[in-house]
Amino acid sequence: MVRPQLDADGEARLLARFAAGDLGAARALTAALGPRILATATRMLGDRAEAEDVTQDAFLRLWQGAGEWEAGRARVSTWLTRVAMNLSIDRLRRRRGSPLDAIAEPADEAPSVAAEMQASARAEALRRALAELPDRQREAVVLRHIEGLSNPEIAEMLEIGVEAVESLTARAKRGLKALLADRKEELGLWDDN
Amino acid sequence: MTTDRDPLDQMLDGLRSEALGDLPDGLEARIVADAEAVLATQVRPPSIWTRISEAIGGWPAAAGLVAAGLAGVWVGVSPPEGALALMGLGDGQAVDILGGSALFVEEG
Repeated sequence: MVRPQLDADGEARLLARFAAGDLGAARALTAALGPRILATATRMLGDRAEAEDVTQDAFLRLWQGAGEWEAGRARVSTWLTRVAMNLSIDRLRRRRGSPLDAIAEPADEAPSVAAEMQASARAEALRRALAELPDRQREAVVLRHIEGLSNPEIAEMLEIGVEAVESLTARAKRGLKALLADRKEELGLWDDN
Repeated sequence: MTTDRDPLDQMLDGLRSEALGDLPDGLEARIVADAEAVLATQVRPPSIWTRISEAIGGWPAAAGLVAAGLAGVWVGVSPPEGALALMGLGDGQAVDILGGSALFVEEG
């Protein structure tokens, strides 16, 4: 299905219409923004059910704050992403009770998690490797490659410097390559020189 | 300048281009239901007349108030004789209805 793309103004207008009592505007925002939020939460948590909870929770906070939303404060989709990220990190912390950059547990193996991905060995291997990254590195990768944010945007969202983002991303990629190295021939991946 | 993109970057970009399907029906319904619930909890400021009506117990009470108000105007315009006596304005005697010092009872 071709999903209509909303720009920042479009998102803000829909939110304002919702705040004025238009439930249809909420449906439109949910349809437009929900899938990516769910994908982001799924990549962070590795658990579809938890990702759905985070997605629902993020939207609830949006609905509750709609009446006080300041025009121009932030883009709705960016705000939602930040909330979903924070909720995901909170869940990861509670799940392990360990510092933020502890090693991640293996991803959930339930078919519903893999269902949204293409049924390919590469995609599956990447999913597993991503789940094994430290939370902070995974967060940077997800924001860059799923949310499509630039380094300055990631820096603002994570409240760190741009250099720190570059460092996180570089470490994440080294980690992914190492995790995927065992299967590089099978998967037809790059050659290490 | 041509660069061969890092295959890992290509794989990671694949995460984004993976078909983002529609939200699961159940999840979409729950999110919209939350929105509906938030709207339902929003209270519109009532009109001034609604607030007065609710304060005095509804429109039947308001009607009674109006009637009493009109009666008060009538009494003022044409008071009965007993009322004049109480106000000390008529020919009747003043009556101490409080019975002297009955109001103030000292604790002993």
